[in-house]
Amino acid sequence: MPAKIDGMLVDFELIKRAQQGDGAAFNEVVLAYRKRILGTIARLIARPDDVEDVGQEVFLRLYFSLDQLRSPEVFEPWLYRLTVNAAYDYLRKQRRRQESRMADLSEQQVMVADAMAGSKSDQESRRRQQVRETVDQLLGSVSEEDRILLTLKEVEGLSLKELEAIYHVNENALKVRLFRARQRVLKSCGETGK
Amino acid sequence: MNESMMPSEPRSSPGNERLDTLFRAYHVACEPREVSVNFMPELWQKIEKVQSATFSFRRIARSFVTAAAALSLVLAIVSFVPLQHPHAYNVTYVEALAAQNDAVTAHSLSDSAEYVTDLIHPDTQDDAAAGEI
Repeated sequence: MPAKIDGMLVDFELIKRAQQGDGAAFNEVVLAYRKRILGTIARLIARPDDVEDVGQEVFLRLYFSLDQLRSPEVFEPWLYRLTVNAAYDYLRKQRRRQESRMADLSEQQVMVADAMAGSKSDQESRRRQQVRETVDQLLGSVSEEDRILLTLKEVEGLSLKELEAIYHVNENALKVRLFRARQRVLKSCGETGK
Repeated sequence: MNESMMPSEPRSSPGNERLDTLFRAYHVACEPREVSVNFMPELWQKIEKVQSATFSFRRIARSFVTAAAALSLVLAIVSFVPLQHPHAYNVTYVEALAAQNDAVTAHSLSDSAEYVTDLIHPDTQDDAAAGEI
């Protein structure tokens, strides 16, 4: 058995030690993954102030359920699953639904996206803020399930195989769900996709 | 995990292309801030808090189980104690039957004696009763 899978940030031995209750090993696992997980959470919940709280919730759940992990090979999909669940819980609590119509967003989106490439550095943070607000508004108009699935696939760049491992759903079903989620997003901003 | 930042399938419609561009821009725009120095201490505080709550619950549950076991033991002893002195059933059936037979015989003998006395001295008891009055 290899010490770790390509792309994994820690080796299997460390995960096994953490599973056996080694606090130092658990600390190392958290330190290795926290930036990636916090980044994912930031994109899933779009509330910068609450990202660390949700991240701590993820690692708290990890600590108390690590002994249920069958094999270290599935550690990453499993950690993503915990992240997705924590994000769901957070979003359900927040229930923040933006009701505004987004028919006029398309032009704004293009302008913002085009401007991203060659902007001056002093305008960069303002534009990033605009992008965040625009996408948050778009994703806020669909369900939490659609939002999280689209974020994982389109923003985080997870492959369908990785999503299969997280959602325990086959590839075709995922494709259908992704397609429908995109359609709902497009519809919500006044686009028909035609 | 981040092997592909691009959508897996090309999408030709302008709406889809705009959406893909926007999602890519969003990925860059949402780069996480620096993790605060309190992240790990707060995480361990939360872990210890949950552990202590779980420990308290276990301790309460264990106390409850111990108290229930002790109560069951006491009730068992209380219900068992009367069986230690079963006066009425110290003898066998045959002995009890014999004893009853003896008692019946003795009673009938005393009744016969009284009857005989009454026959021999029929006024004795009446006189005694009259004297009391």
